[in-house]
Amino acid sequence: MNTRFQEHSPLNALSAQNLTVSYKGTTVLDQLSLTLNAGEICVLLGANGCGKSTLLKTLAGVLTPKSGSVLLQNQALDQYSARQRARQLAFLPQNPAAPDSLTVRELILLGRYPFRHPLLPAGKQDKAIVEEVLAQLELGSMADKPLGTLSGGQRQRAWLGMTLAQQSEILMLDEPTSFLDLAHQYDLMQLIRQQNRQQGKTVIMVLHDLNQAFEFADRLIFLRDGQIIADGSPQQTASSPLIHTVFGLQTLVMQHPEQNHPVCLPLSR
Amino acid sequence: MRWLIYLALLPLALLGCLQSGSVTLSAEQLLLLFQPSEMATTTSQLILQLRLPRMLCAMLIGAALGLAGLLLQSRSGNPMADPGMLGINQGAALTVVLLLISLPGLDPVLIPLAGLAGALSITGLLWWLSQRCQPVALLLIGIALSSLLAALTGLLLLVGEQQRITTVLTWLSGSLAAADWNDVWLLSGYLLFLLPAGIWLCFRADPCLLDPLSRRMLGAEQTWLNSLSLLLVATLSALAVTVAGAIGFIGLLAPHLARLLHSPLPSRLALPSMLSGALLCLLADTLGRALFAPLQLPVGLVLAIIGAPMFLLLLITRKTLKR
Repeated sequence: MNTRFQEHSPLNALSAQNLTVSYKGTTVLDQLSLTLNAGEICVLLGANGCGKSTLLKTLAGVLTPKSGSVLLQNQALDQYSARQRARQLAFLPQNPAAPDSLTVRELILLGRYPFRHPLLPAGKQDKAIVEEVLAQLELGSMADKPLGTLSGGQRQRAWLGMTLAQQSEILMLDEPTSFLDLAHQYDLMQLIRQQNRQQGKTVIMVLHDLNQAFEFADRLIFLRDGQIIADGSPQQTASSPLIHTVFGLQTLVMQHPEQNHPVCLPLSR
Repeated sequence: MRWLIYLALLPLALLGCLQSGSVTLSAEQLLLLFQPSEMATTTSQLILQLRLPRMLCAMLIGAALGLAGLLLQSRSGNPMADPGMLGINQGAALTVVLLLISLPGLDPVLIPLAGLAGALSITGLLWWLSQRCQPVALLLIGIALSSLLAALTGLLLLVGEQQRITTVLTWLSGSLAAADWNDVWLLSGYLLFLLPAGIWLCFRADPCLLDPLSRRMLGAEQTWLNSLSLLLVATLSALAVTVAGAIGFIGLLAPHLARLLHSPLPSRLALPSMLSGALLCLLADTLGRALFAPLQLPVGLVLAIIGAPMFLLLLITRKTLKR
């Protein structure tokens, strides 16, 4: 029994085969293949316009590839209804927007929408999950505050809460730390790691900060011109020639003096 | 707590509505309703045959328009949207004017039916278009359509016979003066089905508050729900137009008033929007009858006069436009 289960349990949470995506006649992704393992934190890295956001959106089913396919739990993504997909895959956009007067609790409860019965209001279970998420993110004290009164870091945590309430296997984030200060960036990344380690969530995100990626990712995927040019753990991939190829910047890559991950210091163009 | 406001305002408005008009009634006279034997027949007729049905019509139409406005604003993601903007009122007006001018011997009973037919044809057109474009584009189409239909109506009015046109003009500005029990039964018959459907659609519209991408990733971007909502908005406004002519601003204002007191979620705003719509319409009709009694101002006119400044005030003082 157990081995059968093992056989059928998908180790790859999400995979893409020969993805080609074009936007306004330009090819953004070119014959790209990728398999995302269950339970890892995977970070997409690359210069502006290299296709990392496009890749994330194609993997999420927002963009339709010109050719190739995306498989979610070994089943074609376009076979899923939007509701079914939302139960498996949560996505936090780069610029999420909601009215300022919406409260944190109400926002997080919206994450339960894909599970809600079409005729009934939110049930006990939905509400219990919202409370659980509020506790996990330490948002309990501000649960009934309107989003407009929160700081940037708190608001981003509330949005993360909405995606967590979806209780999906996969969590996708598009530059989640963009508008936060250093400490709040760190807090948010810690929360994401905690979700990965404790809840077993598979995380794939786009980040701009290399050092953040080196610290928190299990796996880095470097993109250039719509293709993957490096794929591996931070220890395997972090090198100044690669960073120069990807970003066109001379850097010094070395081991963090106190932690077990590489760091990268910019030198010159 | 917040609901107490409606509980306090509604009886006051009801009382004011029953008392005021071309003949002002005292509270004692109203209380006599419960002792029919002691009441003058004219007074009881005034209340039961004129004011009561008119009051009920005002409330039903207000509630219908408030809900239609909320649904349209939520689904289109545009807090400035108003059912009147879609061209439905103008569609109804055009068919009525067309019929009155081309068939001078027309039975007046057929006028509301003509209005409904016109409104529903525009709805059909909008529904067809909604399958092919974004909700925001639909509003722009509605505005263009409104102008076109209004221009055509104006053209017909220029060539029409003067006497008939006066009747049409009163109806066009939105009046409850002719409301009777038949209108009440017509409205409540339809609304018995339409309001629950509208409330249900509001419950499904909660994720519409979010940005389009988040909404989509929650599996909430369902085109059939968009189309159904639009169809319902159109039917609700067609119904209101048929009974009372073009009444503007309730669809725009009622949801905004509700937002002052309640959470912005459409599911939480459905009932408050209906209540504030009913209150607004009742208030406007009462004012229209009381201010220059015995002269009656059409409710649509009063709403435009009090509604427009009220809306401007809301825009300036509240961040209503921010999403």
